[in-house]
Formats: sequence, structure tokens, C-alpha cells
Amino acid sequence: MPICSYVVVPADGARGAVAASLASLPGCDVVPAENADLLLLVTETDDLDAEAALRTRIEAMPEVRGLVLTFGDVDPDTPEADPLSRTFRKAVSSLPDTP
Amino acid sequence: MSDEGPLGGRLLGIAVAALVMLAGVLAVGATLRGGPDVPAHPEPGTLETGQPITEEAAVFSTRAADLAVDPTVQGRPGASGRSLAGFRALRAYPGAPPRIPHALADDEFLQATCNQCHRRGGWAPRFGAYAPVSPHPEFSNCLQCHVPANTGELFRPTGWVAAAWPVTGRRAMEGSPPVVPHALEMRGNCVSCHAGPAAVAEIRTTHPERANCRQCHVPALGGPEPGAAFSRPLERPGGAAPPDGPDGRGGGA
Amino acid sequence: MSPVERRIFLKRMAMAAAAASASSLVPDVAFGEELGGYVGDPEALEWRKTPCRFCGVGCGLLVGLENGRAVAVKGDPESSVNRGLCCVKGYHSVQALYGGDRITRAQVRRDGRLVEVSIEEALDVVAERIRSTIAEHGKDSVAMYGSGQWTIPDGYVASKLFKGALGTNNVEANARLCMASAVTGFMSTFGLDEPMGCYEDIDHADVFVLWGNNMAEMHPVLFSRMLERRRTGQGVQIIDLATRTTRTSYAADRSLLFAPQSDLAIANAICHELVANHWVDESFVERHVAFKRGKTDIGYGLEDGFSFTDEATDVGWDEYVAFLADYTPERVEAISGVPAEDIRWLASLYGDPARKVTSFWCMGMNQHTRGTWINNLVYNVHLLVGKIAEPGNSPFSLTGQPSACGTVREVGTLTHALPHGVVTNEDDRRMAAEIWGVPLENIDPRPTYHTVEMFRALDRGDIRFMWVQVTNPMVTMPHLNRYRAGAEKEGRFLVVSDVYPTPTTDVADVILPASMWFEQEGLFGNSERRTQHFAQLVDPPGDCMSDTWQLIEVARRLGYEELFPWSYEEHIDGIWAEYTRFHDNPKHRMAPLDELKERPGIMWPYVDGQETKWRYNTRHDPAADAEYGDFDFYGKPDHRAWIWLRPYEPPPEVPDAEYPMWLNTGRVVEHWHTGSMTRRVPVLHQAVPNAYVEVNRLDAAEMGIRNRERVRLVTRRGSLELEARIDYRGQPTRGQVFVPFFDEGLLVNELTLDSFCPISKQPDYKKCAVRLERIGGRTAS
Repeated sequence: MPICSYVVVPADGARGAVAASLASLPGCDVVPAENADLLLLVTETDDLDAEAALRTRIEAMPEVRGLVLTFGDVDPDTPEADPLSRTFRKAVSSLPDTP
Repeated sequence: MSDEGPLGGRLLGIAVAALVMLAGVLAVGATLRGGPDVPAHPEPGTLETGQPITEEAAVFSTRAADLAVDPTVQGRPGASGRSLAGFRALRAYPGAPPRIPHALADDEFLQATCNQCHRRGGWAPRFGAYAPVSPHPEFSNCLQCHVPANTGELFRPTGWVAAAWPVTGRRAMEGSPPVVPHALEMRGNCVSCHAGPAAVAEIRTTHPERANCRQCHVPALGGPEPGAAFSRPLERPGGAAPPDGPDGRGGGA
Repeated sequence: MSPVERRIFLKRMAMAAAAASASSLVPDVAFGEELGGYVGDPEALEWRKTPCRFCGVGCGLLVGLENGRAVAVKGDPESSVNRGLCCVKGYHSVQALYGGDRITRAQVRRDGRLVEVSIEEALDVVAERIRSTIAEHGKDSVAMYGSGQWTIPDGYVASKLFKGALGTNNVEANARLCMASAVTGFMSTFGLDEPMGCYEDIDHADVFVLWGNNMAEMHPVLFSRMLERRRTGQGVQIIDLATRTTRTSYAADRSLLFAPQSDLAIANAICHELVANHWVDESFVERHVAFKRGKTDIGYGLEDGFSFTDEATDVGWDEYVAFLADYTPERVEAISGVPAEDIRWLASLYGDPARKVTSFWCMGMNQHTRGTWINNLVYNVHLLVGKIAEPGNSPFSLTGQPSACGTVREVGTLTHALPHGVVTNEDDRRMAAEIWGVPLENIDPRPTYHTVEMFRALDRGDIRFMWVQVTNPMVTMPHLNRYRAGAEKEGRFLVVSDVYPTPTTDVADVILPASMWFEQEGLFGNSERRTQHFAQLVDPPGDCMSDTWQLIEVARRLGYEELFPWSYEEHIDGIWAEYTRFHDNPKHRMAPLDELKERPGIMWPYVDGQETKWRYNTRHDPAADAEYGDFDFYGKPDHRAWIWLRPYEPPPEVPDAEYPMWLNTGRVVEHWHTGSMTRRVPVLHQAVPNAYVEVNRLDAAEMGIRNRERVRLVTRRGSLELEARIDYRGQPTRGQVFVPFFDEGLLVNELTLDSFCPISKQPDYKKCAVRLERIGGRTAS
């Protein structure tokens, strides 16, 4: 069961909306920043496919501008499925090149 | 020496530069004298081992004394500094040679005088900024890889998608030194991006006075996939008797 | 940690990582109260001190504890050794406790297969086997083989059980492979083991000469301390004197490369120049030095049963000067390849009265068929100019293992040694018998087997039972094929106490699950005479038991309860109280346990609450008698340090037409010894996953070998296929290859030669003859 964390960059002014949308998703814990347009997201999913599907779903949200993986761990039961592996990471979008 | 203290206040103090690999421009000419076949009694001066290994030598190649500004100095307030976003914006993909972000006078373009500022760094009034220190000042044909942007337009739209930037600050435990997430070829000199007034703010080291960076920060590339540690085969290679308990114990559990 | 706890822990780690990344994007970013539930507060961890269990530097660590597990590490700012800094191994060291294939249950081989049993049953088997082997083959058929990673109590009870109770001197430790030449160097020159100076010398020296020592990788914390000295001091220089270009060479101000074995000639040439230029400190030499000649042409120990005893003959100054006449810089240039002007320059640094010089060395000088000699010769250099035993002037022998000094050297877990003195000395035997409470006759006055000879005896069948603790000889023994085959012979019984499966547990008849490091209480002693205590900080997994307690359990099963009377709760206190009686004199007094428990380590001699930083110096050492002047080398009966006339002699196996290259072996910064612990730390394994062979670029070009191509190494003892690396971590000189030895899947010690220094009996892993072959079909031109 992967546990991952992300920094989520919302569209301008959409921090609250994104927080609400993410909090409604299963396996998602979200902490919005108090003074910046950023949110922290921790996900807990059944397997890497579910993690990838969740990520795709979040990325498709119109008010989400960017998503960057910051942590990943899987249980020893599925040691081959490391979300920090290059193949996994390749699929993760990077932050846009703006401060 | 003070405590490095990644746990002292901030959760994770040090981040590591996100660079991967520059296209193959490393040209090493092996032009050294050879030694005798049996070196028990070598001729004097024949024991040279070759050109320095870039990745090993670079970390020591720029000492504080060689720099215009001590790497422990953060720089004057108001100087325009480097940010990770800007750093990435200058590179087409992780590890790409950065574009030249400033205008060049004609003579600079012709003579490539870059190392006058970029070898030692220091305050550049013309830009109101500190010059970043080159991680490879031994190269002087700078424009071979680094070019200016003379237009903001594209000739045709591009479908280019860059590789993802590596995750910075990856560490094994709270307080562990983060691993080096990028290749060291051409960028083994950590000072260039991580220390001194021209350091990239987000990945500035908390302890620029230390010189032996790879004492603590080891490369995370080139090995097996991250997360994997050594695991031992259940049966010893070529052995007759596998160490085998009632529940199959003996390793790798 | 339960699965649920683990998931909470992981989610907290995940949120912390996200928060860290966010703060790198927006430095002042703030999160509300909600984060408090996720983010671990490092200050809320319980931080407890321990010395690092890798390497002999002895860094002070603080281990972060949570839910009974070690979860973080930081350098201990209170430790004067490392002042808050560690190396990559230290920072990840606690992860070595949690490898997935940890041995947690005892196993006994039955009908060729290892079967899991209770630890009580396994200990019964061990005790019964010791009893029956002694009954059948005599007391010298059972042996104990330990390590410089033994804690002090481990080594102490091993010595007491085998030497005091069973009456055999068959006690050895892998430190024989690591620092025996350092010991014999100290003993022959000064009469007492271990350095006169301490790490504080680094803060005072102007010149550092590294004799065959890749310190940037092997002693990185001290190396950084030296770089700090150079950064903040005026005109501080580091000179790397080596047979291979390494990270250390690049950091140094000068790198001088020499041919293998020629360090003997270089040291004598430096002395030649010191004399020729009148740089000798005559009053120091007159007052504090005696000159001795030893035997020459002393052999290499390649034959079973080889024996050698040195003899000191008095000589005078004139004979010493005549001896040095053979070592002009020009002659030595021809032997060593170091240009004569560079030898002169090096001598001028040692000879300059205005500069303080510290010499560092470790395996390059110790793993040497003339290891004792080269140790003597570097002391000669320092003694001639009187640069010794004062701040910054220091010939400093570094140590490889965390307690090679504290346990093997100070407790004396070597065949000839006792906790105080040697078995051949009746007074020393009497002291041991009295403190141990055993009859004097119990302690055999004859040393038996040093390590190489012990494994030869196992092969021959003179030894039938061997108990191995905290070491992995089936990776580290030179000429490994012979000794593995010997250990596997019928009628040999091997007990192995370890924490992970290794090639040594593969050949074991009994495997005892050991607790490691701070899963038990213990003490180490580092290479600057610093004793370091650690409490038990976490519980060992499964049936794991400390090596000390395993030995005590077996001793009790053999009927020696009265010699090992301590309860588990008090056994470390009891052992320490008994052990320190051996050293209760101003030359070696050790700190009381109460103080050791509180502080990150205390140096001995510890007299009247004061550490002794510079021994033999009458201003610093209360045991030094001012009657002898500023220095009193009280280890020798004449109160002088001895300068030995030690010539250059070639190594036993040199490259020839059939095996045309030198084979050198060693370590990398990421891995500790045989990798059984560090390879189970993900960061370290990923940085250097496998062994490789470093090949000089020009040799590779000549043979058509490309980088990362598989090649074959062949010596007279074995062959090995592995990846060639060109300009990777280090660069051997032409005609030399280098292989790290951490990889149990690529055993370079199947190739190495089991020759040793006849005085120290320490093998030479740094030089033998090898042939490099291309596998791809083409042969060398």
C-alpha cells in the first residue's frame, strides 16, 4: 500500500477550492498553506495503479496547476513497487517554471 | 564547527540541486607518459595515474581562497539571487547546459571571456548580482554549450516534454544528509550551486565551510532502483547445503 | 512497531517531506495547527548518545528513538572527536539494525542442513562441542576468533573464558588483519601500544603527511577536520603519499606516487636528508633516543608453522648514519619512482623547525609484509627531529575498527596477550590469574596461533572447533580458497555469532543470533585512547543475544559459573570493575563507568580526573618523570624511544611475465569492511552496489578494455570476473589494479596472498602479482 506525499500548486485564488476537492477524495489528507498558494497532500492507496489513477484525477482538476511528488513508500509486501523508482517518477509532473 | 543541525530548526534544511546529465561534451585526452610494464623499479616521474577524475577532483577544485567571495557569505542584501525556478527555466531538461541569461557584448561573444567572472564568482555591478561560479572552469570554450537567447519567439511550436526534475531533499531519515540526485559529470563542484552568494536559494547548503561534501552526500544514481538494499540469495552460490530452516529462513525474508 | 504504527509513521514522514519541499519553494511558507499532527517534532524524539560502530575514528552520535526504534541520527556536538559531524555511514548507521534478513533465531546444522532451534539448545550444543573437542583433541584444538568490533566486555569475557578457564591461548581477532603492525611498531619503538598524541594534533599541525592513507574515504571525519585546519590556518599543507590517486590526492596540496613497498626506502631517504642537512634535533636525540639493529632478510610467512623472533642489537649514531648511506634520494628515486627533489622537499618539511608535522597512516603501512618496519621508520623520522608527543607534532597510527584499540589491543584478545602484558611473562600471568580467580597454571605461557596460522591449523586439523564473533573471515581472509576449504572439512566445527547471513554463516555448524551495537550495553575504545560507553537503547529482535552474554552462557554450561557470576542487569558494571583492575596505574588508568556513561568518551590515562592528551610529555602526562627532561619514553626500560635500522626489502610476490601487474585492495567510503551491514542500508548500497576493478586508462587502452567491460583477474591462487572501471573512484598507477573487498559476491580475497609481516603476523592485502585478462576475445597486444 503506497503512501505518497505531494506539493500541490493551485490556480490563483483556488487554494480553498482545491483543499475541499482533495479532502473529499478517498485516502487523501490535505494541509493548505496559510500564507502561500500551496497545499500539502498525503495519499494512501491500495497499489501503484490506484496511486497513478488518483494522481491523474487530481491533475485533471481544472483548478490544479501543478503536482510534485515529494515522498513515496510502499509496504515491504510489494517491494518492487517503489514510487520513487524512475519509471514512477517519470510520470509525475513537475512544477511549472515560475516562482 | 557548529552542528549541522538539520534538525535544529527547520525540518529539512538542505536540498540538493536538480541536474542530471549534460550531453557528452566531456573530452578527455589521455596524453600522459606511460610507465614500464613491471613497475617494481619504476623510472622517476612515470607513476602518474592520468588526468584527474572529474567527479572526484571537482569537489576540491575550488577552494575558498580561489573564490572572489567566501562561500560562507550570503551576499549583500538586495542582490538579485538565483532561485530554483529560474535555475530550471534556463535549462531545457535536468542536466542541460543553461542558456546565457544576460546580454553579451560583441567582444565577449567573440572571445568568450566568461571565466573572467565565472571562474571566481564575485559581485557583478552590471547585473546587480553575484556571478555564479562555474562548476567546470577548466573548460574555456564556453559557447560550445552555452548560448544566449536572442529572441523570445519560436520558429514553429514545439511538442517537447522534458524529463521530470529529480526530487530534492531525498533522505533516509529525519536529519540524514540528502543524497545527490544528479550526475556529477561537469558538476562535481558543489560550491557552484550550493554555496556562496550566487547559490540557488532553495538548495543552498547550511554548512558551506565544509569541503569534503561527499563524505556525507552520496550519489543516488547509477545503482539499482531507489529503495532497494542488498538482499542475499537464499542459497549460497555453488554451495551444496542451502541454509534452510523449517520456515525457509535463511535470508531475504 | 506494529503495521498501524508504521503507517502513521510513514504518513508523518510523507507530510514532513512535502512540507520541506514546500519550504524550498516558498521559504517562509507556514502551515497551521493541522500539520502538528503529521510532522514529527525532532525535539520530541528521545536522543541518546553512542559512539558510531563503523571505523576506528569513534565519532559521537546521537540516536533519535521513537516507539522503541532508532529512527534518526545526528552528530553529537559534545563529542570532541567529530564535533557534530558524521560521514554518510554514520548518518545512516542505525538503518543497519533493520535489514530484512536479520538473523533472529539460532540455527544448528543437522544432516547438512541448518535447522532452527531455541537459543538455549544452540548454546547447549556449543558448550557440549567445546567439551567433547577438548576431551578428544586437547585444549588447543578449540579456538575463539573475534574482532575489533567486539565491545570491550565481549573481548574481556572471551579472553577470560579461553585463556583463564579453558587454558588455551587460541584467542585471536580480525584486528590481526588490521592493526597488528601498528601494535608491534609501537611496542618495538616505544614499549607501549597506542598513539602518544590525539586528534587535537590536527588543530595544531602545519603539515600533514598521509602515508598510503586514503583518508578522505576511510577516515572522512578526521579528514574534514584536517581540511578545516587548512582552511582556517596559515600555510597549512596536506601531502598525499600513495600508490594510487584517490579523492585524498585531489584534496591534498601535493600528491606523490610511489611504487608498492618502496615506502621503506622513502622513509629512510627522508632520514638521510635530515642527517645530511643537519636538521636533526641533536639534544632530543641525545637525551631521548637509542639506536637498535634488528634481524634482516626475515621472510614472508608463506609456509605453515613459520616462526620468527626479532632481536635488538645496540648500535650507535655512526652506525645509523652508515646505514642511511644506502638511501640517498637518487638511489631511492630508482626504487620508488619518487623524484629525488620531491624526497628532499618532503624531508625539508619534516626538518623545518618552524613547522609542526603530523603523519597519518592506516592500512597502507599496516597491511604490509614489512609493516612493523615501516611503522618504525616513520617514528624514526619524527624522533630525529624531535617532532613527537606534543600538540601538532604527531606520528599518528589510525585504526580501522571501532574497538580495535579498546578491545583487541587493550584487553589483549590476541594469542600472545593478556589484559595486561603478555602470556610469556610470569608477572603478567600472575596478575591475570589473581584478578580472574584462576590457578596460575591455567594460563599457558606459550602463545599458539596468530590469525593466519589459526586458519591454517583449522585446515590441517590441529584446530577442530572455532567460534567466530562479529567478523566475516570467509570474506576477509587472504588466500581465501584454502581457508574456506579448510573450514568446510569433515570434523571441523564452526560456531558463528552474527546479525546477517554471510559467507561465514554459510559454512557454520551453529549460527547464534547476535544483538548488535546499542541493542546491548557496551564500550568501545577508539584510536586516540578514548573509551566510549553506550547504553542499551533498543531491544534486540527475536532471540538475539549479545556476544558477551552468549560467552557467559556457554561458560556457565561448562561449569565456570563462579568466574562469570554477574546478573544480566549488572554484568557490564561487574566486568568493567574487574577489567579496569588490570590497568589501574598512571600509565593506563581508565575512567570510572559512571563518568563514561555521562560523557561522549574519555581518554586514558585518566588520572585525577584529567585526560592525558600527549603521553610521554612531562607537561601533559603525569606518568612521565621530569627527571628525564621534557619527555620520558617510559615504555622502555632505558626511558628512550628506539630508532630501528630497518632496510628496504622487496615484497614476496612481484609482477613477472606471467602475472604482470600489482593487485591492491581496500575500501570505499560508503561501505564498511565486508558490507554485511552497509549493503543493507539502501543509500549506501545504491551508491556502490558492487565491487569493480579500477584499471589505469593507459593500461586499458593498451589491452582494448573499455569502461564497464567485464574482465578477468587471475593470480596464482584464483580468478575473478568483474567490471572494469576507468577513472571512476580512484586511479591506480600503470601496471596496478585496485579492487574493493566489500562484495561477498565478488571475493577478491580468493586472489590475495597470505604472506604477512614476520613480526606482527599481519597479512599484506595491498600487493601481489595479478594478470588482467580481457574476456571479450581479444588478447593484450
